[in-house]
Amino acid sequence: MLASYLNILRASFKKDFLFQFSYKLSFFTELVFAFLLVFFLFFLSKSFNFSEDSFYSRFKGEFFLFSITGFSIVNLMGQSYAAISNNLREAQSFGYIEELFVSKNRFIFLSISSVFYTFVKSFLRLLLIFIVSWALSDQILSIRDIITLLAVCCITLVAFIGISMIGLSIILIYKKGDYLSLVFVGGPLIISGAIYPNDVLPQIFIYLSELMPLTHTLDIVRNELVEESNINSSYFSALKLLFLAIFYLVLGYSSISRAIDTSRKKGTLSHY
Amino acid sequence: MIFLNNIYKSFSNKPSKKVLTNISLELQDKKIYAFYGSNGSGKTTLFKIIAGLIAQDSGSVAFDPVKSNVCYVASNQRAFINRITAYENLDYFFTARTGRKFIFNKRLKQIANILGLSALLDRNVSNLSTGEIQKLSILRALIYKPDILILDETFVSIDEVSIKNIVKILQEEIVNNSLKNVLISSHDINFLKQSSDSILHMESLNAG
Repeated sequence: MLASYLNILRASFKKDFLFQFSYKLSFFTELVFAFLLVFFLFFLSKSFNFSEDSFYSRFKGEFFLFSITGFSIVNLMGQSYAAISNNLREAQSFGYIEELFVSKNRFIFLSISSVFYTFVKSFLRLLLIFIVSWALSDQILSIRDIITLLAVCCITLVAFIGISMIGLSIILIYKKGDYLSLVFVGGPLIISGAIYPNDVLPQIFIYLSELMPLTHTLDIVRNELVEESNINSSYFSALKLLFLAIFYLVLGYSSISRAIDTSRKKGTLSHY
Repeated sequence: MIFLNNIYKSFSNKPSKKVLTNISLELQDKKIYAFYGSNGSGKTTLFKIIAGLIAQDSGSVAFDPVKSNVCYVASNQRAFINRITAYENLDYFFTARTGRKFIFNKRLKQIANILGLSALLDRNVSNLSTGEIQKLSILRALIYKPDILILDETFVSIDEVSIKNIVKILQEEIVNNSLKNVLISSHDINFLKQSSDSILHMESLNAG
């Protein structure tokens, strides 16, 4: 059973690699754009003196590292999320979705396995951006920092797999684009503290941001990599992130499971 | 054996028309069955119910499509992943569907050769013709080693010689391998007469 799922994961990774590698320039253009953003934020941060601002004081006045972690991690999860819904839409529009439907659980696994290649590729790019950004700030990213970053991103990915399963349900039932990414990927740019600390927000937004996995991801990453380490703060954020990951995964699975039953009943599995 | 009992199916966008009405069928193993009927007579719906892709409103299907390894091949001409080769497509779909590593064995090489696909396997599928894609769909279905193979108007763009070869391959697979049933639909009654053991008329089946 495990070997069978590992084979599917390997096949999805290989297929996505071959497919995306056929667009030879895109990997490099994505990297160029990412580094343009790095240098934009670096020079922007030089033009202000954030250290005297109380909102940034706990980040040692490091607006540059603060914002680069925000942008990069939101981008990593946005790309991973999009990989899953794009894969389903492609299977529907090219008409091979029925070819892949053997059983419900196999189909769900196959749909989410498409995130594997994108996550690995995007995480490696994020790592490269972090190493350069930390070097620009005269700091060094330690092996411990990298392991922490990977572990936190993996837990966040579980939450996003759950959310993407809810998104897939919307695509399967309503045959329309998935707007959840606006909430869970676009939302964090405003309320999860991706670009500015969410201490500046009204209380209602701070409560709402607690439902966003990225709020806690950014908290942990900044706490461990940018701030002076505060173990208690990371511990509670990690617990909240873990809880959200399990919550969204369970919700996502039950939602896509029902969506598949409904679309089989309506005969619309392959419609898009 | 495929056993369907009192199958009913209607779609919500067609409230006045039931697509399948009280269909009961008993299909014997090791035979090729042809389904003949006008457009909208319910051939595709029936096939998809047998393949487990659509759920019937009522009635029973006395076999498990997952355990029975049913493979449904539509007439869709784009049902592959573009920008990768035909072989890479076969590799991906085989593992995605079976969970096993793809081995292009002697028998598959032989089938690919008979279908005239051997030289095309390292080509990007977007560079293949419609007929070649349809032959590739049949090869893809055969690599799964299905118990039941459903070919839903899959022969539309395939040349006559290739069709004869495909029917011969299917007959050999039934005799020598695990293939139990082949269900074919087409609007060409002469082709159905030549290629199948029995022809079922959808209009008569729907009459109950």
